Amino acid sequence: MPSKLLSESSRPETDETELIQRARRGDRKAFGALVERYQRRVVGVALAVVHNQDDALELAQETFVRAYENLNKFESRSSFSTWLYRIAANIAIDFRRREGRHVVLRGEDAESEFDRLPDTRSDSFAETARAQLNRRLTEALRQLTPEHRAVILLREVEGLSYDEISDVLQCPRGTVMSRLHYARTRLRTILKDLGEG
Amino acid sequence: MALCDEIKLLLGPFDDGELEPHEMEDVALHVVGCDSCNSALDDLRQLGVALRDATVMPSLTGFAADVQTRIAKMRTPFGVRMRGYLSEFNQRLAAGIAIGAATAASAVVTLVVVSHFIPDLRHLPIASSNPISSSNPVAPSSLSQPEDLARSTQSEQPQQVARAVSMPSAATPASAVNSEDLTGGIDGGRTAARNDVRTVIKRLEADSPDVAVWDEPHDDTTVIWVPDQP
Repeated sequence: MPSKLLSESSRPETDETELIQRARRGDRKAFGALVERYQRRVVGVALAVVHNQDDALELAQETFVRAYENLNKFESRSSFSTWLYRIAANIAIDFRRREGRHVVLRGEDAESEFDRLPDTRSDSFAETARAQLNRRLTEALRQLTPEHRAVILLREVEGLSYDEISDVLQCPRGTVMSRLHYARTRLRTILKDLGEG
Repeated sequence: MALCDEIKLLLGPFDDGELEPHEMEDVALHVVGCDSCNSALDDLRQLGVALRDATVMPSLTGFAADVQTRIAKMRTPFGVRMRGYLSEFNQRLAAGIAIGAATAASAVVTLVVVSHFIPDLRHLPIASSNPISSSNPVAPSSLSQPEDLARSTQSEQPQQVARAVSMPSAATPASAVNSEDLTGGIDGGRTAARNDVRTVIKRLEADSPDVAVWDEPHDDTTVIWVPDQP
């Protein structure tokens, strides 16, 4: 079971509250501290939805800019992190709808994505098998819808709980569970087909 | 295996720890005794490991700085600006009030301190010109009557030092007399002034035998010496 990287219970809430209040008054240094604290997770959420590193970075920047503009609208009903992830997910989903495409890599895009995979020239058989699995998995993820891909990556990679995913994606918990089940089953089937093919 | 089909639906939430406690217990007990469900659970866990392995996080170097650059370029939201203005206004108002209070306190302290010394200023001695001087000739008309002078000398305190009064000699020509020493006309009143001086001297000698009068030819003056009074 992946560790809950997003657990906020160990963080001093008073420190974050003070940073938010200072940022609301225009203190950009305070907002910079919040950016550094949550940048990795926000990028992860964006990456889970769009599954493209360059797009994820750009969308994550947009997320923080949007958050800065709307700091006054943040209420303490939810945690600041959840509020941020929700903005990131909405921006990423909107981006995908505008783009109107799945992550089907062709030509130069495909080459750049595969370049990021582990080096297959290693002599180690395990490394080769691992690289091969990664390629197959990346291909399988592309075949999922953005909604299913977002749910499974937010759960498996970012470690969000079902309630957090429900909050971020603005969908019921039951929907999160059903999408997760479908995504896992689908991936296993795709991987099996890719393995046999 | 209807039970396995139901259990396999719960394997995902079971692995994620999202089931109710009694459901977690039921699934765990079944998985221990079912190879098929145990194998399916193992596949789920390996899928999770592979997904984490395959997901490459991009480099975040300079990310925060880029965000700050974008924010710096944009216009600060109205609400944030207003909060900033109000905060700055409150700070300046507080500083102004503090300065004003300090100034007022300083003024009050100054007034209190100075007011203690103001009455004392009225008692300071005023520098007055003594008409009787050992070196300055005295205008005859400014001299008091011989009786008054005698009275004044007699009424002086014993500790007062004898004063010598120089006055122009009665025989001194008009030219030797300092015109500034004479009041109320110079040319026309010189003869009259000389007569007045002789009269005064005679009266002094008659009234006060101790008074000595002599002429100083070198400076053409007449000295009237009044001794100390007991």
